[in-house]
Amino acid sequence: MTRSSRNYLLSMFGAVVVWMSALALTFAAPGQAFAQAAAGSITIASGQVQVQRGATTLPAGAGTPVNVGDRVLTGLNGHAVIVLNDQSRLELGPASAINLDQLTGAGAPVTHVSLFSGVLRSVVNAAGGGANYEVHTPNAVAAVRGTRFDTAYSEGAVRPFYDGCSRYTDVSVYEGTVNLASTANPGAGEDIGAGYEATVPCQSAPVQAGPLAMTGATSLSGALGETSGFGGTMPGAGGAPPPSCPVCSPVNPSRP
Amino acid sequence: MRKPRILRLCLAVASMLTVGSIAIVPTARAQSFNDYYPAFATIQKPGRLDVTLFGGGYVSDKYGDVQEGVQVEQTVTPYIGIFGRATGYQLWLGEGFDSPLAPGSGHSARLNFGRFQGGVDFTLMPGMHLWVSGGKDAGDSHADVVEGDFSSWILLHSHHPINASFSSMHNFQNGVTSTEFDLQAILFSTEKYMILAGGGGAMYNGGFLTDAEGQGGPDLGFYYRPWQMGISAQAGYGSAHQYGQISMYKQLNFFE
Repeated sequence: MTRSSRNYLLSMFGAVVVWMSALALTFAAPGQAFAQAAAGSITIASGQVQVQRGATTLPAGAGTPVNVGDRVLTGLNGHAVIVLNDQSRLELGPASAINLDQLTGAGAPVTHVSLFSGVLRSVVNAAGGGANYEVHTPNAVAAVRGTRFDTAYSEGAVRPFYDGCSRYTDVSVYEGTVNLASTANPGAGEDIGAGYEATVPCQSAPVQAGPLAMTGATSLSGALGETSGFGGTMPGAGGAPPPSCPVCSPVNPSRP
Repeated sequence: MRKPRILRLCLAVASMLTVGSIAIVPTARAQSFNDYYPAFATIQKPGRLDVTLFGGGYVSDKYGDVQEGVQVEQTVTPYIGIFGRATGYQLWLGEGFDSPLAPGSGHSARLNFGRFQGGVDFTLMPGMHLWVSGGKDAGDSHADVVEGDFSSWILLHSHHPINASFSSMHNFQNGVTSTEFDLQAILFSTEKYMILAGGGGAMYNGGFLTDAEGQGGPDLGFYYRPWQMGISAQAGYGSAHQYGQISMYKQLNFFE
């Protein structure tokens, strides 16, 4: 092979490499673009609501798109509703922060939302892959087998009878079933059915579920001040039978 | 004569508290006062004002009544609240009642009186309350009254928590001590409602009563979460022969 023909082959090879690289970049670019693709949008926002995208923090309102990788924050009086592309609905209570880590159906097997503080109500569209939805908090994972539940994460405040633990993930289930597990032992989750709530304290296993609004778990309705816990029939008033002849006198039992 | 009665009342309260404590403590591993009562001396923030509207009716062969009222409670610390309660009573005495609203022959005139009470609500443990109050009647009764109400949820972290409650009230006008007691379990819980069932009754002694009187029977309750409203019905047999009663309550909460 002559030098000129070798040079020709080398230049051809170089051209192919350049074209391959260009093609690779071309195909890689949509992947990069996908990471920034809109995963949904904020449909309701009240109070202080922000979207953190990379190093930028943007004030958010109704219509603001939310991308995979975005962090959404609400202030002390904030409240936001995000509708994802699969029509699943994420509702944030006051003083809440979530990160939309990944979205199912776009290369990821599971929709993955991280909750760092506050309360998140998830209304998962089962037809849109609802069985593949997880909320992660620093100490628990709530994996969905149903459609509607609240996840709340709080730290700093100690609750009675938890041995001084100050980090809690509460899950309140309204429809379907949620598997709640501690991050320390994700394989030993507890299934929580509709109408019940449970808590993961620190790195412990979830406590046994109890009826909604009764075990002290935080829910979105509670955080928004819409409801409080059920205390039962109020003794002495609501359920009290009248005392036997409360105004009768000892002299004449039939008259005051 | 009053001292032994009050002593008995205190003993009853103490024994109920002991039973409640024994039932709850083994489920937790509390190690210090702070585990039991974190943030004990802090003012509760946000504070909460609970308003409970209640009403009901009672009918038996010997007497019947209708009662209605309101209780307002303000949180002070996470463990202490102050409350006031106003109750109106319409009471029918006599034999042969079909209904307190439409008394049959042989009845005496209707008696009307109001009862105004104020006191303190102690949260002894999660789900365990002790209300202590005093007050006075106005209208056809002028009695001074002192009342202690106790309510405790046992097995809160289960599908069927049990509520034990009793209410003991002493009437200084006729010397009668009335004690009501109830034991109910949550049969079923959903997002919207809960169904409760159990049994309860009342005991009356002292004053013009020559012997202790009482009554008891099964009861059934229904609580509708969205309205924070409940209804409870009880029927049974006792000193006043067959009786039936119904009570309703509606909770309103205002976060400050």
